[in-house]
Amino acid sequence: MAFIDYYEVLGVKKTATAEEIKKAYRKMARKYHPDVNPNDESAKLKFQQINEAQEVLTDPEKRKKYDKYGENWKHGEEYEKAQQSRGQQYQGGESWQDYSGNFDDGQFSDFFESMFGSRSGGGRQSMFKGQDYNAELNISLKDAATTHSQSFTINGKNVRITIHAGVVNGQKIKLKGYGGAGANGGPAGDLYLTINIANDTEFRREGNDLYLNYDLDLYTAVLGGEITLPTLDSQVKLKIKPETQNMSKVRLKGKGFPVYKKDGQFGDLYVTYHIKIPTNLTGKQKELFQQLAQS
Amino acid sequence: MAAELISIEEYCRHHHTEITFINALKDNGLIQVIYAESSPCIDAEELEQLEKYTRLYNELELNIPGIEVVNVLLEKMETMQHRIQELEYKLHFYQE
Repeated sequence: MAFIDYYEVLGVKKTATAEEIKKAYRKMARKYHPDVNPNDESAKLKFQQINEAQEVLTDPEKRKKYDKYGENWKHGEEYEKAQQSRGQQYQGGESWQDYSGNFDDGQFSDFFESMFGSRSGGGRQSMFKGQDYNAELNISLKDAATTHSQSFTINGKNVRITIHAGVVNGQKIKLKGYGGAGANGGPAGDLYLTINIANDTEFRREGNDLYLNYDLDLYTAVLGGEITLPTLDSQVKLKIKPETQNMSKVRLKGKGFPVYKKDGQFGDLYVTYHIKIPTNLTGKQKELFQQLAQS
Repeated sequence: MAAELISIEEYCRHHHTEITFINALKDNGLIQVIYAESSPCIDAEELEQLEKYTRLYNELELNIPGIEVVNVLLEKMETMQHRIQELEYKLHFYQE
């Protein structure tokens, strides 16, 4: 458990007045407040540190105690214990237990808890938001293409959420109030759910567009014809122009992936034709190809 | 589907917030106030945003123009983060 220099945390001198400390706290809080640093764990940690520092330094009693023991807080604790063991003669100020309470949120450092016990026992009580949780949800690409509900349990709470069609791989969904419990009446933390999309289809997704490689037989490519092409949720019939070249591409407008939270809007489907040369030709077939080659 | 409405009076009571603050947010276009039987309400979907504005106001002592600036910058940041995520996904695809 390391000593924490609260003056250094707030960037003030040890002789700083209460007003200077408040001013420094306000300045740093504006910089590191979780609302202005969404999804930034380091800023959240820093905000907790500056909260802890202002909790101690703006409370005259706590500041006095902190200044008295300061870096030698460990010896201070020994001193207190020794005094208590001598028949509870120590009467000055508060004992460690005076601060004990039910605060078990873990928002404050071990150093703070060791020196002041729980913060709920005295002084001003600030509300603290509970810890944010992170979780992952695995869905298939086909699931990601339809708006559907998912149910799961996290920390004993049943959660039912709606995943909107067009959700992006790695997208985070915030579920307000599904994180850890708040402290001193503070709100519960939030749950950040990361959506992992597994692609078990023959399609490649880029944004809202889908890409498909289609094996086209030589005869249809040369003579033209009609094919039935799979889309993500059904099939479409497509005319093939005669003399279609290998690796040529066609775009099927609106047959791609749904656009997130925009009903009725879809990306496009790009199809690349891979022309397959026939194998195991019969003698007759080879002869016909030779005639073609000579014509 | 009908929107779920939260009475502003109830919100102010719960969050110990002045109605003048809500009115200032409304006047600056930061929230939309809906009147249900002449009682001012907000859409439940706006609650999270309103709570954020309230925290910025109470905890960081930001005034309304400050909240507006922070809001614009956060929206830009969110758009950029979303774009980065998309690009990372594309990059990951080409690296495979």
